[in-house]
Amino acid sequence: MYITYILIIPLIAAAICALFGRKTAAYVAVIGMMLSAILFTVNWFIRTGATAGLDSLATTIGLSTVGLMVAYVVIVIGTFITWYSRAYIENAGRMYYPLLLIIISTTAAAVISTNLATLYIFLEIGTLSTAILVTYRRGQAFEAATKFIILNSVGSSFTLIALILMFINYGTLDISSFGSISSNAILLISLFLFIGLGTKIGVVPMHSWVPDTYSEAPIPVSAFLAGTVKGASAFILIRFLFALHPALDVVLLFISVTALLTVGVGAIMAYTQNNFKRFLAYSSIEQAGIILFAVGIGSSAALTGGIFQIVNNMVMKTLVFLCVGAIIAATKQRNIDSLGGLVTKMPIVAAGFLVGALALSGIPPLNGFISEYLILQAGFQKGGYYPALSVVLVVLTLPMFAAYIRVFQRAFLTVDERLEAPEVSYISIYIIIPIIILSVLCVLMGIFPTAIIEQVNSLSVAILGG
Amino acid sequence: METVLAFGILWVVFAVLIVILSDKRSTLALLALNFTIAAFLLIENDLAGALAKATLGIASPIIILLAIARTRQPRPQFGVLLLVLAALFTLALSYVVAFSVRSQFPEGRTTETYLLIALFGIAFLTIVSQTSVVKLLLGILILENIGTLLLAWGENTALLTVVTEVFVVLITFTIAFIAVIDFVEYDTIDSSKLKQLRG
Repeated sequence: MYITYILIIPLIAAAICALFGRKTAAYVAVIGMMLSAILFTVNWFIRTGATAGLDSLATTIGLSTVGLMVAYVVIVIGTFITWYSRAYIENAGRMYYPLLLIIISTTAAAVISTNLATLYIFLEIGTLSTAILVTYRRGQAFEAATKFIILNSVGSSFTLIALILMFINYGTLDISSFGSISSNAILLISLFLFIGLGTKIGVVPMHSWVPDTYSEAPIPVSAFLAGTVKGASAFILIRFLFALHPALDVVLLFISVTALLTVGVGAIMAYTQNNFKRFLAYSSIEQAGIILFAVGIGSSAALTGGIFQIVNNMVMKTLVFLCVGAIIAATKQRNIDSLGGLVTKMPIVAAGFLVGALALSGIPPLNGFISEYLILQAGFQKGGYYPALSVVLVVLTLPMFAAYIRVFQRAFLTVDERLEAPEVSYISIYIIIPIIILSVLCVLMGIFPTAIIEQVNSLSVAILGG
Repeated sequence: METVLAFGILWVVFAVLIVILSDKRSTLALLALNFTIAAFLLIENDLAGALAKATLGIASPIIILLAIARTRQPRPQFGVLLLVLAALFTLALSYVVAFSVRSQFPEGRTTETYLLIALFGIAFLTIVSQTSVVKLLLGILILENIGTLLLAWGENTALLTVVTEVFVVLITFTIAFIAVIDFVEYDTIDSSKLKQLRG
């Protein structure tokens, strides 16, 4: 049944949205996504086994139950994004909601896809839909869209070549049927896959589209791209990389070093930003590096930490983006230095941003701390270069923590008497509700992580076991 | 092997022409590249792949030609002589790289692998040496063609060929559409100028 929640309901809702006017489309989109999320939740908690809900249609198009948990988070976050969009986006274009729903459903479907052709189709539909959504605002958004589609098309070409090489070498489209192949072929496929999906994740040096796209796309779209699409792409990389047996140490080391470079560049560049959305874009590059570092360690424990970090990142990153969206909507300001003293004027948003920032910085007892701790622990356990690389990772994340403190202090606490205090207009309760729920989730997932870790652990074992 | 070599030389020549020629003529070179790939697939007994490439492979150049008809080619970043030298250097470098990793080549695919690495180099040269959005798109399409050529190495690849070609057309359409909109608004499709104009 789960294909109904992931693909059929959102796509039917998207088709209905395309037929109706803007206001009706917004309500149809929200109702469609809520229906998907609620039914998915009910099915998730009452399912009797790993294959519960695996129907013939899902099997035919190459979907599996491995990764269903990540797909579930994609649908839930997608529901928050659609809800937020209804309140946030004034004068949404006619195709805004259909495209948003298509991106959400294809992202969720790509996560659980085990078929090379199906995966490529979902990834490309997502890329094309995103390029159109980024151009929601004309002018600079076109620059961002051009950069997005050109760099992502180059990335897609690399992914396509990797998928074709897999098909030629293994003789099957289904990754669950992969056997063993020569290490030369694995090396080549791994590198193409890493560069291809790494472009979508925003790995340095293929990251240049990220700041432009996130800063020019509408906030709900940026939030979904930064938190969820990026995480989903990282999860797909994990699934397909570790379907190649055996994963090569040289590739894993290369990924680890690239991950550290990504963390460093993301953190340092974030510190220098004055535009709120560009700051978050660079912070999402830093987060991508942390996830990839877990991929580079490559052990079961590391993948548990990495997948948990992916799930956490979907929640934390969406939270901070939605907070920044609320600030921009209320103050009409994008520059951090133009703000100040917002803690008294927007206390809930300030609290939400603080929770998200601390969680992203890996501060206990929030969810980000647990996953980052698991990754570092796995790094120290692995031995070799990895304990030293783990120490480097900790050092490289410090500028990011400093950047969050700086931003919180400048935007929410300090009042620059030389500047006119920003006027804060009323924000709809519909914008505030997702911020409250996501903040609570960050805290709860940090204090009670056991159930999620168990799920993620069995998922990482399933991935490594083929 | 002779067939592969003959086709391969044609592919590399067409790819180099894409780097050197004007937007319009390089699109015709892409069309020729697509047709020779379709002919090659036919010789390799991949009838479905050849049909997909021959039919859908026409769509991308036509879309680009339509976009070119509605825009004006920007002044090239580099002169023809420099581009020819860069292409020769790229080919030489690709050969050196391929030669140094020849022990890793798949069995019985030595000639093809050399040619694909050369095409790969030229694709990147096209992307990095040009400022015209159309030329960037053509570079991406050379990369996609490498994927299609790799498909010829496998069996029962018709599905993947069709899927790939469909998305190539969609990507081409999206980028070409953005280029046309850009030209209407800013009177140029030069990516570096567009950046300045948009601020």
